[in-house]
Amino acid sequence: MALSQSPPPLFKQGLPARLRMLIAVIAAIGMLYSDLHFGMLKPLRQGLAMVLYPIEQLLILPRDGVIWFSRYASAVSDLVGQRVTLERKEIENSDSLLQVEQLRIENESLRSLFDLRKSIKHKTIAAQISHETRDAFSNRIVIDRGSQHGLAPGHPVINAQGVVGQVVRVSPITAEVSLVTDPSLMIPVALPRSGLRSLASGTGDGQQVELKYLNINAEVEVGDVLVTSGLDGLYPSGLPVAKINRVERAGSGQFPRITSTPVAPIGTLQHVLVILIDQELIPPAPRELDRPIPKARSEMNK
Amino acid sequence: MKRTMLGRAPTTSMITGSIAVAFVLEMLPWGGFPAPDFLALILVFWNIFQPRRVGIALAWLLGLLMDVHAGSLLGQHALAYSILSYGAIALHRRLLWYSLAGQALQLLPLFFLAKVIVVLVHLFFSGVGPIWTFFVSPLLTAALWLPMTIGILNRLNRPQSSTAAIGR
Repeated sequence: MALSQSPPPLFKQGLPARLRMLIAVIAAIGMLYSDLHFGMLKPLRQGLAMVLYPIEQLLILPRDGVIWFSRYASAVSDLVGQRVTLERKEIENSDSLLQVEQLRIENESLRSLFDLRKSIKHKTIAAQISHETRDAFSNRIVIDRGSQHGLAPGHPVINAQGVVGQVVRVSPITAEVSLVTDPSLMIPVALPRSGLRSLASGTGDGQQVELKYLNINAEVEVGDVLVTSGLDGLYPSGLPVAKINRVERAGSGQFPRITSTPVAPIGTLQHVLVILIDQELIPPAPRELDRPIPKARSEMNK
Repeated sequence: MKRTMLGRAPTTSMITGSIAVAFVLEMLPWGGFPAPDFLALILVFWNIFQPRRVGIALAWLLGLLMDVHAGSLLGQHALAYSILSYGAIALHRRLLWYSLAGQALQLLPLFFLAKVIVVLVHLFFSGVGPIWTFFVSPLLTAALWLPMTIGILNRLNRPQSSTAAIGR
């Protein structure tokens, strides 16, 4: 090794570093564009994701172990208390569940009387949140179900409290979900109290949801609940999305600034439900992969 | 002032091992915490001490892997890392004459630049700006330069009984 040492680095061999950087930069930018516009790199991403998946799972094992152990070790009194509240809740719910069933039958017969299209009941699939993505500005989580289980971009994700978000990217065994706090995700919402419709999207701080383009005179108050309006044909209507926590009245020519907090708190290892919408109902994929519903924004600006 | 030097050339397995460790650290479930960019750190280290073995091409490839893991657009980190790597290679002759703290200070803008590139690409393609905690990460990365460099240098400057090649 010592004998066959290369000549002193006075004259560099190979391509100069500047040229190398230029090639790398051009390749990276080319990649960015093709990832955005053509979707040619999907197999590459999915392949690499499959390679990384076992490592990722291995790395979150200790964390899961800690969470599991702390749950296991929770005191008996806690569990008894939890059981009592759950039982009470079940009794409360059973009453309304029966009512719902009755209403559903009644609704169906009424609809058939009026010759309306039957409301669709979608298949759902339960999934578990495995981790948050490393990308600090997109509020995304990864769940442990993927295209193998029938998930596709566009499927709404909910939990017991309300809307969690929307599937934006799938690999065979995992899927990325944009949370409602993601600024790039727009959800058509309605305010049941005042009957208004609007669009909700994240503010970007990962905590809050903003109501966009509401009338200055809109009757909105702190404490109002936003529910999905179902106008996009993706989210079933009437699911709670967020609760308004601040209303700033607008000056002339401005939209009022209305922020709200999501109703569905997100934690790791929680269970969520993915609603498997019929593929025909999902609108054609937007040009940009990273903006789930960009069309809504441009239409509202017109 | 003394120039920072490696006692002997690192083996290829040591370079790969250290990069693998950095990647694993990167993949820990950090959640929203502005974790330091371990991969950028180790890349810059080898770019500076072994610029001919760890170059821009490797940085680009590792960036691509990061893109897949982070769920960002493909090419976002690849772009940032290749520019970072170029910056480190351009600096490498001068940098070694500084003290370790001085080196960290010199590298801070470089780490910052890499972060800003990721942010700008994101801003350009999806119109969403960063939150301020995002910029804490380069500070932590630069701060980690000291312990990491001391650690690796200690390892390489320790006398070794085996007949490994003595570089430089």
